[in-house]
This record gives sequence, C-alpha cells and structure tokens, in this order.
Amino acid sequence: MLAGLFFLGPLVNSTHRWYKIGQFLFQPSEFAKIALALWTAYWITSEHIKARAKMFLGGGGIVATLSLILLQPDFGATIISLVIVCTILFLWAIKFQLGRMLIIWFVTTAVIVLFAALSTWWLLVFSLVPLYFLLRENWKVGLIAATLGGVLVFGTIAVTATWNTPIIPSYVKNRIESFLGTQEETFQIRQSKIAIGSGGLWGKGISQGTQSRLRFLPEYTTDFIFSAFVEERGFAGMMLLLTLYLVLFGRLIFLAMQVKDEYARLIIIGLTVKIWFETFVNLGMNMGVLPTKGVALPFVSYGGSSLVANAIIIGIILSFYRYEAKRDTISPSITLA
Amino acid sequence: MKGTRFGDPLVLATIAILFFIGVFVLYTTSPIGFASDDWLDSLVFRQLLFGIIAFIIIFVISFIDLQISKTFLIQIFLYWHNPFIACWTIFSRSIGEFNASVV
Repeated sequence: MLAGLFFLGPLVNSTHRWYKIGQFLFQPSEFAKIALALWTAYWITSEHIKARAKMFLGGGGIVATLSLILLQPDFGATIISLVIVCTILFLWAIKFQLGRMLIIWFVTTAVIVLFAALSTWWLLVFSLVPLYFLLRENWKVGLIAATLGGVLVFGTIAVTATWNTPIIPSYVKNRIESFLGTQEETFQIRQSKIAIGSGGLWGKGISQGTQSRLRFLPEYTTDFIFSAFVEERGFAGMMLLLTLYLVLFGRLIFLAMQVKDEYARLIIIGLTVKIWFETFVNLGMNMGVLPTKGVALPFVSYGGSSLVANAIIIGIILSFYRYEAKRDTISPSITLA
Repeated sequence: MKGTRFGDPLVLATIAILFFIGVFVLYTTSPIGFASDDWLDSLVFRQLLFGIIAFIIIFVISFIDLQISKTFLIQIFLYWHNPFIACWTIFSRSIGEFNASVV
C-alpha cells in the first residue's frame, strides 16, 4: 500500500501521503508504524526463522518500509518510525552485555557528531575512543559499528555540504532554520505562540478564540489543535490535557511491566513510545520549541487515519494485557507462543 | 484484581476524555461565518463517526488473543503493507516454519 501511493495517491501539498476514498483521505504510513513495531519485535524474538534469513528478512523489511515512507516524502513519519524501531531494538539489546556496550557507543558517538556539526569537526576525533573499546570487546560488532559511525559522520557532512542546494527541500530548511533561530520564525509558529500566550491562565472562554475562529492559526483542527484549545481554555486547560496524557502513558508503561512475554512487552513499549513521541513532537511544535512537522496530537486532532491507527494500538496493548492477566489467573503453567 | 473484562478502564476513560476534548475544540472553533449546507460536511460529525469506529476497533482487537496468534498478526499487517516481505516469505523455504507457530 505504501508503494501504491506513488501511482494511485493524489498529489497533496507536493507529497504522495494519502489515498482518496470518497470524501476521505487515508494515510497508510500511520498503519505502517504499527506494522514496523510488530515486525521488529517479531523479528528479534522469533526462534522460527534461521539466523541468516533473520538478518535479511528483518533488516530488509525495516529498511524497505522506512524508504517507502521517506520517499513520499514524509520526514515526520520516518523519524517516528525510526524512534519506534530503535526503542524496540535498544530494549531488546540491553539484556546483553554487548548490546549495552553498543548502546553506549551509539549514544556517545551521536552526541560527539552533534557537537562536531554544531561547533568544530575536530571533535570527531573523540568518537574513536568508544569505538576502540567496542573493537576490543568484539571486533566483528566493532567493525559494523565503525561502518555505521562512518555513515553517520559522512551523512552529517553530506547534509551540511548540500544544505544550500535544491537537494534539501526549502520547506524542511525553513523549518529547521526557524527552529535554530537562524531565520525569522515561520508564520505558523508565530500564530501558534500568540494563540497559546493570549489564552492566559483561564483562557478566553468557549468559542472566544480569535486566532482559530478568524483563521489566523493554520491547521487549527489537526496539527495546531493544542494551540486552539489552550487559547480558549488557558493554562488550566493545558495542565488538564497534560495530566491526562501523563496518566495514559504511565498506565501503558505499567501494563508493559505486567506482561512477562518479551514479544508482547517490546510491542507495548514500542507502540507507547509511538504515541508519546507524537504527543511530544506535536506539543513542542505548537510551543515553537521543536521544528514544525505534520504530526497529529493523538486522540485529540481531527483525522480518521490517526485516530483509527491509535485505536488499533490501544486494542493491541489491551489484548496483550488482558490475556496475560487471564493466563495468570486461570492457568499459570501455560507457556506462551 | 489484575484482569479486567473489557480491557483497562483507566486507559479507556483517559482516551475517551481526550477524544471528547478534541471534538469539543472542533465544535467551538468552527470559523465565524462558517455555515455548512450538509451536516455530513461538519468536522464534528465526522470526528464522532471516526470515534465510534475507533472504539469498536479497540473492543474487537482487545478480544483477540494476539499473543497466541502473533504470526497471524504479523501476516495481516505485513503482507498487506509490504510486498517485499510478502514475496520473500511466500517463496522462501522458511514459510513452513513461519506459519507453524500459528495456533
């Protein structure tokens, strides 16, 4: 379905992200995120697939799906999908000593590359230190890490070198430069900040939001619905919304901790991170502290694909929890598939 | 009591409140001067429709034991989404092992 978008999906805002079914737009990348979480967890926990097939099938499937989302182009969905995959892989790898070393190496290298990109490139020399320890621990994994590190470094250099060329789309450049403060903030962010700020402590009141009702605030029913809500209900309303999200994520993590099966636990955490990351990015974007991305606020924003996809996620999580509890109560001796 | 009959009430209640906050905002922020000829065009009505579908989906999925039939779940999602994996799985020898875990 993702591949079919390039042939059957209409061109909306210069992208092929949706299928048009009657009056409704259907976004397959929302469902691809769930598929990626299920697939990654299945791939790493399955004992039915042979080791070589496992590498090909698992890695190939993830790369193919991510590439199809990236080509639409949908950078926001690609980043969210990557976060889901990385979270599941990290949680799985952390139980091995080598996995822990790999995570430390990855985080250290990423931080050093970020510092190097923002200040001076000679800082990259320091990335050799974690690599040396990793090579000493396991030279095969160390070589793979060195290759990945090389890709990361050259990717950063390539992006920096091609920043002022047409390869990087202008809207991506504008959003990131606006976020970094190197250019004036975009119209969307300015209007969003005005909406949030003008709400005050208790808000302007029901149906009194001028930013949304007079159409100053763009996408006030989807991406910027948080600003529209805060303008009307103020800081107090915002705290209520954030508390609800806190309760939801807290409960979902609690459910993950109750589940003993590794496959189910990885999926619950991966999918919870998906909803959490979307909330985090949307709120950050509305407040102007993160770059603008087309990410809906889970369960609140208008949109069928997002709502149905999140409903599927909650259904999956509740199913895992419900049947785990049942097994515990009725017959603890049942071994899981 | 660890198990609940219809899933987890706290999660369902939180989602319901969040959803209705969204619907409420859609209702109160309809632009000044906006008049809809057809009630089907109303975003509030459409969102309520999506909401009903979403809650039906939650209840249906939470009644299927996905942990037992995890391969089935993977097949539903990935065969549908990714032709690459579908073709590889169908034509590889591991198809027997892949399907064997379906209970």
